[in-house]
Amino acid sequence: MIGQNQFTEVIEHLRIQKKLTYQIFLDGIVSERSYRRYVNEGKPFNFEVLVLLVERLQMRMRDFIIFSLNHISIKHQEEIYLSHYLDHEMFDDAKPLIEKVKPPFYTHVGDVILPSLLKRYAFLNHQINSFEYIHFLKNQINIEQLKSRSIIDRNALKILLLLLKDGPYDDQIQVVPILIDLMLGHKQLITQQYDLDMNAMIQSLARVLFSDPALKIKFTSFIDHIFEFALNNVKKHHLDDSFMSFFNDALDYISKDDKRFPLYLIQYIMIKRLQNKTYTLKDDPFILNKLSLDELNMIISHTSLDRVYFMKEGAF
Amino acid sequence: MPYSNHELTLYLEAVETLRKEKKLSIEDLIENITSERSYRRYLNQDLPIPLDTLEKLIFKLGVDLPDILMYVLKIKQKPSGIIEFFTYTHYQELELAKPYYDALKNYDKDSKPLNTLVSLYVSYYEFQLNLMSIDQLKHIFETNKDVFDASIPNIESLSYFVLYAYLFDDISHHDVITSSLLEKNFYMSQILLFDIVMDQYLIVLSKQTNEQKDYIKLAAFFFQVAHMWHDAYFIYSSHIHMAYQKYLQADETYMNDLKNHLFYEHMLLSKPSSMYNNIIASMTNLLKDDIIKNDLLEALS
Repeated sequence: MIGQNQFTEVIEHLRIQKKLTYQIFLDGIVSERSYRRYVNEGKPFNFEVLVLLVERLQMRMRDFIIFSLNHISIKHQEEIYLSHYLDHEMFDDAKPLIEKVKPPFYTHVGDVILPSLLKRYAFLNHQINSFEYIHFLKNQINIEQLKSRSIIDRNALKILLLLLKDGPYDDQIQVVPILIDLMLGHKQLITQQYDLDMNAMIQSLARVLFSDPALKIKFTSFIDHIFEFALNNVKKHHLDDSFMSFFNDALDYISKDDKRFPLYLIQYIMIKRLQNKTYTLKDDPFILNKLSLDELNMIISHTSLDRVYFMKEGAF
Repeated sequence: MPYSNHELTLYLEAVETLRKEKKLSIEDLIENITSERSYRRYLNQDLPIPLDTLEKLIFKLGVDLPDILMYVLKIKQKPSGIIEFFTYTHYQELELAKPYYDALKNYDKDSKPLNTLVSLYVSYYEFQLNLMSIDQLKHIFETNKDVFDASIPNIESLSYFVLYAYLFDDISHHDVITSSLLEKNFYMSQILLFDIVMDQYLIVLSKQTNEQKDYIKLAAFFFQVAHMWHDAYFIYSSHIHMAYQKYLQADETYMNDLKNHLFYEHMLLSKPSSMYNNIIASMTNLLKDDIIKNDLLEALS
């Protein structure tokens, strides 16, 4: 977790970087002796002092906070990498870090997200059973409370997404309405990574609902809405991760007769080739379940690349 | 002492906003933390709130300090569309930029440097629509030069001097621009503007045979930063510069980066881009569509 004392460290880092002497930097705010004590002992500044020092650095508080989060994340970047690898199921990359990165954790993923992803990893590696894993997740939140609350924070969102992905049907049907409420703006998400977190939420919702027949029937009235939302989201935020996920889900959602199908298919292949230069369609069961190699050949040969510009449909 | 920085009040407003949203009474919020009288004085800015008190209040609400600030900023600040306008204008997506152009034509809600920068982008947009000549555009840029600091200590000045270099092929501020790009850490908090600036300046340097060393250094840095922030537009741009810096260093894998760049172009744009034509032409004689078509057919094999 990010402690206020870490802001002290960032302040001193920025002072040195901006080549400000103590005299100029501290003038009228705090004595040099006190300042050095804060820094040496790693103590948090009084909030008013912090605000004045940020002002002296000619930074807006918002920029300072973002800078600090990034600074701390970079300093403890192995936590961030481990969380990213586990979240994206890049287990070979995660393995060496699992031994290395132990609690206490220092970054914004350290409170709930990283411990939950580590539990998931233990579950996938048969070190704990499904019951223990899901029980751990459910202990992190109170689903009944979340249903009635108008705000949800990033940690709770992550737990909900893991429950949606790994939980039993009975839990999934509790989680989906909360996520739909977030998507529709009936609940607010509190996070400093709003775009990334909303994107992760829409991706998970689309992936699970488009591919799970039972959930698709249960929430049928929301399916079109979720697709439109995912489409707008990818165009509006243009986050790198969102494209692969969107074109994958879009090919599940739209029919082969839809005029957008060949365009989304080509975009899908491009991203696959981008991710893996040796990717071939004949080794992709997801596509081969939809089209034969002859049909694929026909589409690739006869689709003019001039048509394959995603934003040609308009922005959002 | 009253606060000198009004941004501080955002924290307190955030606590108050969330308290109301959670239907928590003041008594419940402040219980065992502070008195109601003090809390109200903090709210009225008659008394500075100690950090540990603020932390306890925020903890009671169940959120983190940075999250709470960002939340309030999201709620309070309606997005102005500046970044979207700059991005679409930079990538020559004039149709997509149009609604932002309409909204920002007379923008004056921010600091003088940012207001001026927006007005210069408005002029740049109009230039792209052929509503003014390059000489008229240059005249507007010259007239506003004094608003920006030539030592380039902030992102607005950096944006101005880089856009000037980009539009008028002027590298007279090369050293100060390069050190600002590499040393000022703008990528930590002002990434979206930083990435536009970086792409523009790399395009400028790609034409300068004398500055290849700096091009290579900046292109490698840009690639790292663009990937760190997940924004596909900047990953798109960073791939072409990665390709060209590899090409300059005789690394034969440059075609992979070029292909990646072209794939992104189809995902992000509404039409083929001409921005990087010079760079592409110096690396290959192949047409962009042929490069992609061949790759798609390879995926079929």
